[in-house]
Amino acid sequence: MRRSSIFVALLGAVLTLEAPALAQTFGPRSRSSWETPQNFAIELRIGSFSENIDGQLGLAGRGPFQEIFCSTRDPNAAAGTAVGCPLRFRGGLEFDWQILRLGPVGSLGVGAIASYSNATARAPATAGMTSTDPTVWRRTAQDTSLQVLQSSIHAVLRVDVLARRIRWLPLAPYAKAGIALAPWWVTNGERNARDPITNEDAIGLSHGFFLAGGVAVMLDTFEPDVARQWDQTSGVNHSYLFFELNYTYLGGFTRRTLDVGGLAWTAGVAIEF
Amino acid sequence: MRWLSTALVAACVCASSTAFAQAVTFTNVIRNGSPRASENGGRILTRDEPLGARDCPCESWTFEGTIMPVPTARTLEWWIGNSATACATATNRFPAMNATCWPLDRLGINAALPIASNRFSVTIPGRWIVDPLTQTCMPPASISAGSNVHVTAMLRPPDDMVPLGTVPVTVSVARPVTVQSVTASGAESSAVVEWQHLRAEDGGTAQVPANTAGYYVLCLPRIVGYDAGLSSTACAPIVTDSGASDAAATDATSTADATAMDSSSGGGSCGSETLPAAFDPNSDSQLAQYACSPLLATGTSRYTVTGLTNGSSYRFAVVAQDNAGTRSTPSTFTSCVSPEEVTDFWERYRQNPGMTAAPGCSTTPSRFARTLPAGWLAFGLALAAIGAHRINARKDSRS
Repeated sequence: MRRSSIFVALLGAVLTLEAPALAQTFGPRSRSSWETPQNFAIELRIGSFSENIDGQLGLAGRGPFQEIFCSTRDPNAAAGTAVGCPLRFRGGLEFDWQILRLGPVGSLGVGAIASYSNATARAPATAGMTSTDPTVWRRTAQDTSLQVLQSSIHAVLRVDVLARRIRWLPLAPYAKAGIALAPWWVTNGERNARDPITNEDAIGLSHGFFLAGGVAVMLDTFEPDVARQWDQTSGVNHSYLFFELNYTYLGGFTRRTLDVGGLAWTAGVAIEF
Repeated sequence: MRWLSTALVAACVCASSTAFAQAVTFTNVIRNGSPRASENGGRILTRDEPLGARDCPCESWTFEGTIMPVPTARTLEWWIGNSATACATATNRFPAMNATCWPLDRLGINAALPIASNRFSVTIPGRWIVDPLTQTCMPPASISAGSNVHVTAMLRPPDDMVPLGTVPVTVSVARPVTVQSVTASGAESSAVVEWQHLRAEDGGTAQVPANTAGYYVLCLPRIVGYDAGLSSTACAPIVTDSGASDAAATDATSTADATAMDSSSGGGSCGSETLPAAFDPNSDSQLAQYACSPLLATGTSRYTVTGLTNGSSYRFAVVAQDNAGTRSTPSTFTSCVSPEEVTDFWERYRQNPGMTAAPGCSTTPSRFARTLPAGWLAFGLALAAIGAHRINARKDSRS
């Protein structure tokens, strides 16, 4: 509870900073005369799926996630060819509200991310799991999946002074920090898996924190006239391509929950409006 | 000379329209008795939808319309042509060699209209439309699958017959391409059946036939009690004035089918049981006995048959259905497959020794996690309130 109290206090501080920002979307000297007001950002995100389920059990690289989802064989390859952990992706959306303009330096705001990912593999036949080597387990045609709907609410600091002031350096680094929440569920074939002990559906809610750092390339630099026209006709101030590294801990604060987060990369496109 | 030929053509048209002034207008076409009527939520088939192999033995089409002016001393007859103009030429009409227009005189509907009436309503069994010669639901060679036949009203004057109007009916009784490469794998209390359904004319390298409506999976031994959404009774035979033979034919088919079904429904070890020799997938009542899936949408190539018993053996086949409701012959049955217990991710996770060491890691969310959504909701409302305040402030500053 102590950690969560600290975080709530941080959020409160962010919201308190909002008050003086009411009168300043942008300082008169830090925006061009033709620019429309800028308050929000949207990101379309795609990145890698990561988890720390085995690590949480102290079985990194040899736990149940590795056994089920990372030890299957390529049915088209020669016998004995095991497939490693395939690259799995996460897709999502982020919405930011740029509450506070920090003069010409950048903006501080709050944002929310919602993203979806899953890991799917053919479930092994129970009778065929006699070996300790999961790559030789006999797999059935039935899929088993771990599906995760990861989300976060976070503070966002975007430093866009370089991109705005130095034409040949259109980079806008940023950082995010916040809380993360991830409903997840396991399927067995076309239905939810059942917990073998409680006989309840294998669904749950993990929580933790979210940290991210990245850099965005302001696309206005390449087509300034188009960017200006887009701003004046649609209100879109800037567009970016971005790449970030993020770490999500979802193992729980006060009680251990399934850690379906980890270190991941994310890339995508963003607009500010 | 051109003006002369034009004048002659105009004179001919004028003369013909004067001599045969009657015209038929079809105001309504009603379809009754199709087993497909129960599909798609009981939607009644329209005249624009094809008359398929399942419709053919069961369905009747009622054509309603008007004829103006009322003919006197003439007979209104009904013919089936393989084109809109086939019946216009005497040499095309039955019993001419290579006829492309056939009479429905056995229906007893060729009587002259009552003098005072200009309205008609004629009911024609589907099998007469598809095959006016033998009524076997197999069209004559001159009617290709999927083509239109034309129900034609003709007036018989003393010397010759004149077509007064036609209405097209699309016939599609040819069986779809059989499904290929059906395989099955055992899963927990279920089996995953996969297949390919490719256009034969592309050598099996292209996509699904364009007019495919879906698939049924068949199980051997059949799963008693499974409801595939099919009618369990044969369609009622069409009764017409001359329909005694129709009813007899339908009843005979039903009896033979029922006998065959009974001989195959007793179970037995996997591989020894087969479909009855007289199995007709176009019969809903027969298909219902072996179907272990609902009608699967076109594009489907994988289906999980559930409700099976671990350790028992099953075989599977697939039947395709086209947009006319006509079904293919069943594919080759798979080899025997036995459902078996599988271990899904969560079972494996819960089996892990790490779980017993840390019993707190359960599917039940903590109190913090349970209350967090409410916190998010409150946070969102707070943001919305601040946003509204900010927008109002901006409006005030502008004004």
